[in-house]
Amino acid sequence: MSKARSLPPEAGVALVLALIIAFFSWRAPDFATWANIRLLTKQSAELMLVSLGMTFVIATGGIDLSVGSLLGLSGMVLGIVLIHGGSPLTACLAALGVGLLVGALHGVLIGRARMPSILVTLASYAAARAGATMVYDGGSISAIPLSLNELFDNTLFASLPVLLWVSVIGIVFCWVLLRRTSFGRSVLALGGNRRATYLSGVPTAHIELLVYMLSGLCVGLAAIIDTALKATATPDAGQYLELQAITAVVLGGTAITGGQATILGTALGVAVITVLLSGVRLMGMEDRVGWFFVGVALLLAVEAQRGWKKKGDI
Amino acid sequence: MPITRKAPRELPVLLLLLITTLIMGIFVPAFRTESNLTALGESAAYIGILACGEALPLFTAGLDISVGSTLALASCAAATVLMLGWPWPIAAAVGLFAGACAGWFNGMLITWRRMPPILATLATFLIFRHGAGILTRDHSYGPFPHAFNRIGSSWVPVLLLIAVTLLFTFLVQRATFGRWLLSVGGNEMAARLSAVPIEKVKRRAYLLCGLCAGLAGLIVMAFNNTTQASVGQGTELDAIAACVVGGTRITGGEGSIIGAALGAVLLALLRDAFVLTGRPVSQYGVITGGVILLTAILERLRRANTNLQEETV
Repeated sequence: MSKARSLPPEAGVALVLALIIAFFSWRAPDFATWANIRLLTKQSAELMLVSLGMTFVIATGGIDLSVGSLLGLSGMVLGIVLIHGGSPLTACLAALGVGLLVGALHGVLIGRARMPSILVTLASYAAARAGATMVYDGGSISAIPLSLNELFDNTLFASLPVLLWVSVIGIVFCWVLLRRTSFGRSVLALGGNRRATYLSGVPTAHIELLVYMLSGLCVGLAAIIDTALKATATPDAGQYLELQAITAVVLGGTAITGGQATILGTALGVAVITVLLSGVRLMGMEDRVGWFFVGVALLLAVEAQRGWKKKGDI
Repeated sequence: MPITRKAPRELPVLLLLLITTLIMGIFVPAFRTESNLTALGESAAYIGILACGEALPLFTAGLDISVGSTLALASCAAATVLMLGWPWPIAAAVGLFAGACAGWFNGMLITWRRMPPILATLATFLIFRHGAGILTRDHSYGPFPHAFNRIGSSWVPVLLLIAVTLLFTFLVQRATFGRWLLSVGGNEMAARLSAVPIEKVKRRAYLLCGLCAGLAGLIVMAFNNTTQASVGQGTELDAIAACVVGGTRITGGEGSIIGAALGAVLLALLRDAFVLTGRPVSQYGVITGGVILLTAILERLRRANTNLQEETV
């Protein structure tokens, strides 16, 4: 770390967010309306949960490329349990279980067997998507009960959307977990210097297992929300989600090399991506323009972050 | 270099390849038809050429996720020139040049701006493909002149793959550049202290990777006789998988070009087997994922025998 870092790591992304919001309020019709803002908070919940989980993974110096495919698989499992007469609760638990199980598999292979996280999660990126299409022979399941949809489409306290509360609770929970528990401290230490952390008695393999399970759990939750909101489970749900999540985390100021993470930054990064994609849509342009700018935003974020890191290592 | 001679890195992939070919050749009559073999040759060739290029950044402990997008960008550039009615060699040159430019851009981000390769190429993965989509307005190009389509017909793709493999094998095993590549990936600090021009080596690796993606793009568009900005989605996964299966270490410093090419042939063969046995292509990811995981475990076991102390922590 450099000696004098006056600005917090979230400052850059907060500025970018303010600029984008100002631009779209000016140019895009219907952007700065309550209806749209409520819609945005609803749309962002899914990405928020996945990105929060991804923050922990990246904080350990790893990466999870499988989140998008895993969301598709979890959603399809939810759907197939409903089709076979399971109650909505059983179905949701099954979706969470799939996330946890795959996360645990990642955790064991990466933490215990010390295999590169990029390879392990690349393998499940391919396999989970294929698995999602196998669950129901490539078809979508639309037999999602209305109660599930209404649960997430509703408002709660102060007539704010339920999903906004889900995001807020997720952010607070993850912030406490990262900043106020020994688990969070171990995660950051692990990302900073694995060997030193191991030698000071931290069970590194165990910590990594928990981190990947947390990521899987977040994906499972996001899958429930995604399926409920769309009232359909589709095998190609969550495409590009890993890209969005990694971009959000890095935009927020978490170091991709691990050891330094910020939950608030991740939340702001998610806001930037959601606003960018929806603003572009409101201006009447296709999604690919939004994706192009997400790529540009990622480059700018990395460029800004590079300035904070110490120069001339090696 | 270890003193005891181990089994070559390419041995597992070679065995798998032989077994799969034998099973397919004996039990699936549709496999032996000429049209199937031509299609197989084309997909093996473009995955193989992508993999040969992808291997170079992997050797330096880097990674290029943008090869599929580079492929689309290059093929769109070449198609635009072809549609203007210009002769095909110029179009091919423009396609290769576009690929090389994309690779050069990646290299500059990674060396000059010192970005982590995974992030830089993740960003260009989005920028190249969607940039091509914006520029071409999702227009679909084709059909192309017959002279151009020869690049993707009959045995030309396979010959191109063999040529690229031999050239790159020579480059990696016999030229100084190859020694530098592997030394950068093995221990960057040691390479720097031995006066290896690290930045230059990395830039060249990404440039050649982009050039290969451009060539693969030409083959794909010539074979399909059409192209658009969404061509080659997901091929980066195939390319990385082919390298890994062929014995390239994802953490750098070890690997072989021939292995990457053989890995690509194996993946193409498995996909072909998948299709011929009547399964949907969308489920083929199970094979890719399984093969990646299997080789990762094999690699892990291989490492466990040599330096257990360093790796278990």
